[in-house]
Amino acid sequence: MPRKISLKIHSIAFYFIWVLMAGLLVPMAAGMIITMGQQKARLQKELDEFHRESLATLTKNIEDTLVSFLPEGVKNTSGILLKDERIVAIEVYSDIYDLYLFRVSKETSVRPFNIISLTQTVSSDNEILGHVRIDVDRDWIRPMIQKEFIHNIILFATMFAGGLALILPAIYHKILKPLNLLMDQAEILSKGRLDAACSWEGKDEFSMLGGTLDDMRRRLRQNFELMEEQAVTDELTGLPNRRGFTMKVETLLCLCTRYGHDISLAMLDLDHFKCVNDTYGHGIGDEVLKAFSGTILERIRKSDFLARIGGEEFVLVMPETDLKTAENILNTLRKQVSRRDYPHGKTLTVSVGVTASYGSQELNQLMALADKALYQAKNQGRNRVIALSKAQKE
Amino acid sequence: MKNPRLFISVFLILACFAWTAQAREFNPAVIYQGNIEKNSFNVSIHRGVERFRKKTGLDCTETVAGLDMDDYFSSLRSAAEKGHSPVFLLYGNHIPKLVDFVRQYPATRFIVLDTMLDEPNMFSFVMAEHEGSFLAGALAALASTSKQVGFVSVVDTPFQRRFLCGYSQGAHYINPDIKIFEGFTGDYPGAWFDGKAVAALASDMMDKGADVIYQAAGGAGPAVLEAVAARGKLGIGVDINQNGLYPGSVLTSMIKRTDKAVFAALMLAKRGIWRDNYKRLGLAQDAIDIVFDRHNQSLVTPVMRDRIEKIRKDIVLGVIQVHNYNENIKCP
Repeated sequence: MPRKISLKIHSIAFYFIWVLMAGLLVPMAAGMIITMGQQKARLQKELDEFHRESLATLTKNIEDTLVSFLPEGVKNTSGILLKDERIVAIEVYSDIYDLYLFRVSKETSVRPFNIISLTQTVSSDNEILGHVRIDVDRDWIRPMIQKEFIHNIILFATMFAGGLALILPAIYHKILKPLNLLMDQAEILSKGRLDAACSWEGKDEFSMLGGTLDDMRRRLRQNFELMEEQAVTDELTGLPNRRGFTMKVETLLCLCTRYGHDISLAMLDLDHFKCVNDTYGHGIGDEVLKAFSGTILERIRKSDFLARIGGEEFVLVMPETDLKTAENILNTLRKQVSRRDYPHGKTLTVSVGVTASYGSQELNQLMALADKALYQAKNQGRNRVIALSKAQKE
Repeated sequence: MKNPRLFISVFLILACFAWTAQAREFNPAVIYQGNIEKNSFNVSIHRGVERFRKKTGLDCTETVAGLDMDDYFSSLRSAAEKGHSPVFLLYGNHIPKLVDFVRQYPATRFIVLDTMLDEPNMFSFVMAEHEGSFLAGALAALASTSKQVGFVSVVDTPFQRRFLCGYSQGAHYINPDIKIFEGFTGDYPGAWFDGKAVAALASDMMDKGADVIYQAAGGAGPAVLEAVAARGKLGIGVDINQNGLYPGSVLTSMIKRTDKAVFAALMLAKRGIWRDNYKRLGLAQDAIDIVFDRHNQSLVTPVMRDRIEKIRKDIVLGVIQVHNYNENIKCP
């Protein structure tokens, strides 16, 4: 089961969020500020232009109006200009008559304006006739700016969301998810579970890395299985070694103890094998051991099993077999062994100590008992089977 | 559109040249009635003349005639015969048979204030008192709690009715249901200085429920403001700023800058500009206004002030058309 994408402070996902913020938000914010600045400047310019044009309109041909004092001459133009919300106040003043031809303001004590004033002095033949003044509302651009601001916010938010909608799934599917899978895979491997396969499709770097990791797992598993087998097998005879024997027998013993079944355990030791080794060399000795194990294996039942636990020491385990039956079987085996020739061209005998469990002994107790029986067999002249049960021992 | 206007302009300019050619040298004369200092109207005119003298360095003859109309006429005649031109007819609306008089001196230019007559040698300077009175009426209606306001004047002439008519239009503009009391004391010798008569008239109106009274009573006017202040009601001054006479009791004053009109008339005459024989000065020229200062600050709230400023703007731009009583001797 894949874990959730981690959002811890050192995680890549968290880092990506930072990068996205920095990489998308910062340029966009900068872009927006610049755009707003330009729009404000444009509106300001527009207002200034309007201001100048209005003043020019009102000032056009005004000399005669000022000289002859004709208020009606400016009233109509001013009235039209004042209909524009940008114009706050207009005054036309005659210096000659010391009198306004026209003066009006939209400004009141309740509603003061933030005013930009532009005054044009009208003169003719070096005589100042008067002046024309137009005030415009500096704050006129404010609601326009606000409107533009909202438009920009929407635009940039859409761009940001669009960018995220494109980038986030890409990052998630192409980086975070494969990375997470790799983490899981590596974690499983580190726990030693080499059997959990993980298949990767695709040809990107993560897929290739994942594939390589899985390859590694497979090879490790092969090696491990080989090593495991080697650890429990005797190289020479192919029989389980002491470790393999212990593992196998403990399981069997547990089962027998649980269900109260018989199990017999015999220790077999070739008589005078040391002489064979000394006389004919280790090569021949090994061959003898192989032949011996072959002889035994040929004759035991499928449910029994043989293990080599020492140089010339073998153990035969016979489940579901009582001591008497085991003794019989072993005597038959002992005779078979002594009847054939071995690679060094002579016969050999074997001494056997056997014991049985009645559902309560530990393996080491059984082994000790079998060993004791074997010792007795050796002492009593070899080539014989000595059976010892727990009861007898006591 | 352009051509007829051009044609008229050319015609007028030619006409001007013709008149200028036959007119005499610039030698203005102003003849006052009574005396200068005791009449606020005369003071205002004198101020205009003084400013003209100071600014141009030219002289303007000032003569003071007696209150008697015959005395005044003989002064006018002597000025015209001495070769003065233009001669100011300051009390145009009080002078009987003005047209006949003017026609006797075709070579002399007359400048008349407050009256408009279509004579070739007469130049009218009219103050739009009705516009200022409209604002006074609107403010009165805004300030009145009883919804009854009054108007007090002396002689019932079309000129005085112009104040009343503007005042009434303004009050009705704010409140169509407002009640307006009007009263004239009548024409008798010294009527313009009979404070007792106008004060009695104002008291009568206050008895009936009026709580704002506008006086257009010349020299008798301050008596009205006094009577109103004594009863805790509001008065409205006229001609000059009278807000400070009874601070807190004068709602506002409808001022006429006659000095500005006289100065402009003298300048026009000096430059020989007689293109059209009629000039009108009103709110747009700042020649007429109602006054807001520290004396009436407590009486006018910002909201009222704001409303008045809006009305003023609308009048200047022609959105509100204030009817001039003198046009058809009728008030809507």
